[in-house]
Amino acid sequence: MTKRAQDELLRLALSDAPRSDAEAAAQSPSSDEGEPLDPPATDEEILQARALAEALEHGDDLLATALLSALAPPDLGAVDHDALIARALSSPALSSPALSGPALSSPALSSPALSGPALSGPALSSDEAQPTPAEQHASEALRAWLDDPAAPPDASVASAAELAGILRAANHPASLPELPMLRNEALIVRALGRKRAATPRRLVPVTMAALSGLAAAAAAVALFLNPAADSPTASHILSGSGAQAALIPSRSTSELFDPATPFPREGGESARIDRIATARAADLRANRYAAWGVQ
Amino acid sequence: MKRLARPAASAALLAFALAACSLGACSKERPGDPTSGPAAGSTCAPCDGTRTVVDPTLLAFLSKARAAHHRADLAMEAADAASAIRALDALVAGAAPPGALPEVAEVTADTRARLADLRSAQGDFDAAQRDLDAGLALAREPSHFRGHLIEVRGLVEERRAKALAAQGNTEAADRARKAAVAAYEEAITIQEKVIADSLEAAGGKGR
Repeated sequence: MTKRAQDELLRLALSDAPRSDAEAAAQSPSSDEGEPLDPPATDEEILQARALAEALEHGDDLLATALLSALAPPDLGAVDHDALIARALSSPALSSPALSGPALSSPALSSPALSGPALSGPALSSDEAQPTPAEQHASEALRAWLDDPAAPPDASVASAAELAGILRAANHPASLPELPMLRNEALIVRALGRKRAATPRRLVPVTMAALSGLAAAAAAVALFLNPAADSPTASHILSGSGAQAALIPSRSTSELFDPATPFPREGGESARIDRIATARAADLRANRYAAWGVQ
Repeated sequence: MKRLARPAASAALLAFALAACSLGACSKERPGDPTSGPAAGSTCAPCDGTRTVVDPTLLAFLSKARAAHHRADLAMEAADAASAIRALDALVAGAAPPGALPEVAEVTADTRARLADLRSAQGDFDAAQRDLDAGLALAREPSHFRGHLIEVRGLVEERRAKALAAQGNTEAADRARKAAVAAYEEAITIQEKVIADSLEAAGGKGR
């Protein structure tokens, strides 16, 4: 806080302080009848004003401190200045299309102050920006607490320390203290007791599976013993003696080769198997058509 | 209850599996059902041992055989006889449709003949002879396949004779040469029989 700002606030705070009658008469506006508009300060008000003055002097009043900072902002260090500018310029909020309208094309944002030497170099991303002293202090405090978790963390990093502790426990859970034998046995018995208690719930699906299997087996046996009850499927058509006789049987492949032309002494095997497979594929198609009842 | 539930479920599933197997593979009403998959015949053998029609299982084997022979062709183009032999060995040693299907027997016999050719070209005459014996056991009737196997036997013995002669074992080489001549003569006889049978069959149809 600059001296000038302190003086200004002290003057404002002490404006209700007791003054001499002559001073009050000279400075206070008067009514037409000559009576002062503000009544004299009471003793309580004077005490409050003095307390406020002391608070202002020591910087304990938050509102006053904020007003002072707005009235006469202190100089930022060069590191803080660059870091804050870099983070602001790399913020997605500033680069979003919604904010790319006239509001951001105002002269204020294109003023020489924002395009001075500090920003004339390569643009820094938020990750590349230097940490501020406050951040450095917080990181040091967090590191100290991580080195000694038993100690209470610094108030400025309390929430970060809590999160770090949770993450550390999740990643490297600490071993449980040795349990007494009886306690261990009690835990095991209790856990097994829960499992046994949950077993009856599994009986329903197991029983249903067994019943389904029995039903399927019974249906299969019924189909086997009484094929006439089946619907007219392809397999049913094949079961007829007429259809069976119409199907092309498996047989020698000699008919596929010229009996007057023996196989060459070497080679030709692939050509022969090609011919056999092609012929039998045609036979299979014919059998399927016959099974489906296609003439 | 839990002790009873697991055996009960197992028994039910076993009964279901037995019923399905009996229905799918042993039903006399469905020999060689072309609409059934190849696995049906390979997992549950037919009860009567017959599969008399062309079905997907037979086609699956023929497709596998065709792929194996073409694989061997590519290997031989790359002068990789060992790889070709492996491809054909996998075919003759692999699964085949149950029953004595003529197509399976003939294709396997032809594959044995090719294996004997390849192995004898590598100097492995004994293994080639074993392939020929296995092939001849499959092609017992006079046919192009049996005649081809006998002809390859002649080829194997001819190569053996040359190898033995190169080693200076003239006596064994002479025996192998005679075996080759005998094999070629037998092959000629078989082929003549095939032609005669074919002509007879054609004449019977013409009458």
